[in-house]
Amino acid sequence: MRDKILEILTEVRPDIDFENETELVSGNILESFDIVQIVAELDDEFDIEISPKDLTADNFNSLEALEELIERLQDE
Amino acid sequence: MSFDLFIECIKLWWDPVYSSWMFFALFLPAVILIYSICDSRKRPYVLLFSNWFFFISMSGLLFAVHLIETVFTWKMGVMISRVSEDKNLKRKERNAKKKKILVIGIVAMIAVLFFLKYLDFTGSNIVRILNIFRIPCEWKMLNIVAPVGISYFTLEAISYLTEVYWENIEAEKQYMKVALFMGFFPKLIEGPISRFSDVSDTLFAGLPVNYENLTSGYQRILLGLFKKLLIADHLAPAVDIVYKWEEKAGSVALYAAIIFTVQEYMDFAGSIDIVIGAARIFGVNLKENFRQPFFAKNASDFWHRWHITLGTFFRDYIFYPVSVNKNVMKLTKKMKDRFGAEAGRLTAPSIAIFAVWICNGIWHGPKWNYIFYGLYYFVWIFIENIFEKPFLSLLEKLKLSESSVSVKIFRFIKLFIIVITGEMFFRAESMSVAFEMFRYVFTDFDFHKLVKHLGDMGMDFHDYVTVIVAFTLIIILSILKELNVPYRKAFMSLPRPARWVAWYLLIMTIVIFGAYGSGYDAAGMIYAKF
Repeated sequence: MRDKILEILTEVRPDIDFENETELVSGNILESFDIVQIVAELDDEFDIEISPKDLTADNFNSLEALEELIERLQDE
Repeated sequence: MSFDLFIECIKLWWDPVYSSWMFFALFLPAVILIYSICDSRKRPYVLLFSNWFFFISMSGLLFAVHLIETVFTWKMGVMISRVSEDKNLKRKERNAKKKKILVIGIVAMIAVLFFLKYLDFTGSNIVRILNIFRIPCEWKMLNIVAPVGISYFTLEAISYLTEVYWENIEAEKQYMKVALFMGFFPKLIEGPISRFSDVSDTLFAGLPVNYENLTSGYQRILLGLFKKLLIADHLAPAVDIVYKWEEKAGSVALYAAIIFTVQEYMDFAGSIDIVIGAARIFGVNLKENFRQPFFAKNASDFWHRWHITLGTFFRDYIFYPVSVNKNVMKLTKKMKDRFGAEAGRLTAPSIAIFAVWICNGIWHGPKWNYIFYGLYYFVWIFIENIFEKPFLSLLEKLKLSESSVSVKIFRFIKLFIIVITGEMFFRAESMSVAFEMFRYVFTDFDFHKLVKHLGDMGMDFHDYVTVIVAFTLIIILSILKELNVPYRKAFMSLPRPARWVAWYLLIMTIVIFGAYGSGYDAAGMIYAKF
């Protein structure tokens, strides 16, 4: 899962070091346009539904946080 | 004595502007005093009654609207929360029921806002359209007066209910806390638009007023007064004169656009400094609303730094929900399949930013200029998103880095033109005047007309010097802040006598050079009108 998420993220923003960055949203690195694109790709890839309430800095700040979010949504 | 007469008596001496001495030298110290002599349990009530006094002194009986909205918000929050906790309901049923309550809550609050602020505008425009089709009818203006701060506390109530619905916060069981959140007097008139979770830890705790908060709060208030009284209010009479558009020339239009941009920025940022300073005294840290906006790299980034709390409100409650809406997602996929990845990338955000900017324009008030202003930024942000990638490739070909001085200067000039043109349309008396002013810049610049009339446009030589020197100081501070230079820390490490001398100098500068008294009566707070 981690590799697939990384692939999606890198496709949207190839200029970011997603493996080490931990402030993707709170550090204003990812823009809202990027987040929307990432959400669309993740929904498709993992058959989940990321809702507006999930679009928080905590869920999108790092690769690990995204992984946790997807696992949680898959469990629901 | 009737209630109306009582309100009139208060209004005779009470000036409802944060930058008036009555606020920071009379009302605020009185609240601090009463707050401090009460124990921590009673302090939130002191703030609540201060809010109500503040509100009634400005809006009289319209306070009832605020009171009803706070009760309504509190009740709806509790109802959503009860449904969330109802284990007898299945998840789907629970969500549907919760959503129904949320929709009722939001629609009701927007309906009140619409009735009080937009009814005349909508009615008169419908009549105008019907008249075009030769259907005879007329609209009798109702001239309804809206209570102070309604555009701000309505958004805060919507935010509160949505966060309860999303289960990010628990609904507050005590009415007092919801009422205090929505009516907290420092932020009542012009924000910053706050989230319940940002202030709930401190606002209801009844924290004691300590020396550090008191001094740093009043220092921030002084900075705000400096921006407002030395810059914005000196420019206010000149802005009023040039926007009457009696001296028609492109140079005057350009001058009008620039001085209004500076006035609006310093008026709003200065007022927000006073608001944040006043709240800090009670231990409440409100969100910053400005972050060196003119250092932004583009129009989109500008709105991440200017009126930040309005931008984040629209991002969280309009942009994201619209972007990830199922139908919008489906359309995105179709666009991607048919026109390629780039079209897919732009579809959802474009629909969402259109919704955001229409709402942003309308939120500013019932005027076509504001709606145009919103759409103007939608177009710029849309264009920038299309051209950002080609622009970066061009820089690569030219072997220029994004952080190079030439690119930064190019970006600044582009942003400056976008912002001042937007402000010209925003402030002009009407859309036809705005277009005429814009046209004159290119067709009849006539620089001599501006030079000839500069002295009789509401500002004399001393006003110009005051504004230029004060604004230069603010620019220097902004540069230091943008470069993360710890100037405040350096200042605070100075010996105490030196710091006191500096503060006294600042106070004396504001007293001597500030714009108040006769001739400056018109300088209210720009963002209090929205």
